[in-house]
Amino acid sequence: MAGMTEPLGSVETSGSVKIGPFLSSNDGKTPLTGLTITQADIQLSKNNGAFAQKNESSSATHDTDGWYDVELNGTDISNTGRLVVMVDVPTALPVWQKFEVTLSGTIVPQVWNQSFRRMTRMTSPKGVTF
Amino acid sequence: MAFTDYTGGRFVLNNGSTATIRIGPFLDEDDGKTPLTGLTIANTDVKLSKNDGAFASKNESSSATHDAGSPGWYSIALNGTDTNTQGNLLMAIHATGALPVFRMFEVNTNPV
Repeated sequence: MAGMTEPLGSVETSGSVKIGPFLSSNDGKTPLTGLTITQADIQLSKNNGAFAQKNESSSATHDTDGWYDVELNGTDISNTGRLVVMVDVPTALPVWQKFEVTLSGTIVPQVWNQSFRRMTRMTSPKGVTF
Repeated sequence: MAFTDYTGGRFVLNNGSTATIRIGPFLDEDDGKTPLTGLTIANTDVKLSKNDGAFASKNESSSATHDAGSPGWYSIALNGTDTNTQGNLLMAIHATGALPVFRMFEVNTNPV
């Protein structure tokens, strides 16, 4: 069995990750399926560095129910350590996911539950840090 | 690229195996806090993305069942087809009236 320090799969330098669900910023519940999410909208923080747009040039593509596919290339996962993928586009609540980039180049996600986040937003005005 | 769930510990499934997993909490989409205990979550509501592939309904035909011991949490059965692809298995559910819920699993070819 592979562990967290023993990533699965072959060493790859590019690929697609899913990020979502993108929900309406007006009602906090409606999935947005027609968003335009460009390269510049997809901000990466490599190993806690400043956010910058991803290097891979394509826009995100919608899959289902507000979930989008985001392509990353080797430059995007060039730094070992934490990788935060953050998207904040008009009309949608911000979405982010955390990954771990390992020495082999494989990334391990730290998935965030959007509804759990929203619950926190609604029930804890001062915010809770997870 | 391959990746695994890193939230609160991984959830590993054996490739081709059956499994029953729990997912939740399903909360009211209007107030964001009330657990929903009477949802109808059909197999077609349970979307799976195998190793970053496109979402599709789970193959196993049963609906989710609510876990009375934990309001808003549901049990979902998966069959061997649902778990037949090594790598990430992302489950996403957006049931009517509830906020969306999702969870990442790891499908492993080596029995655990």
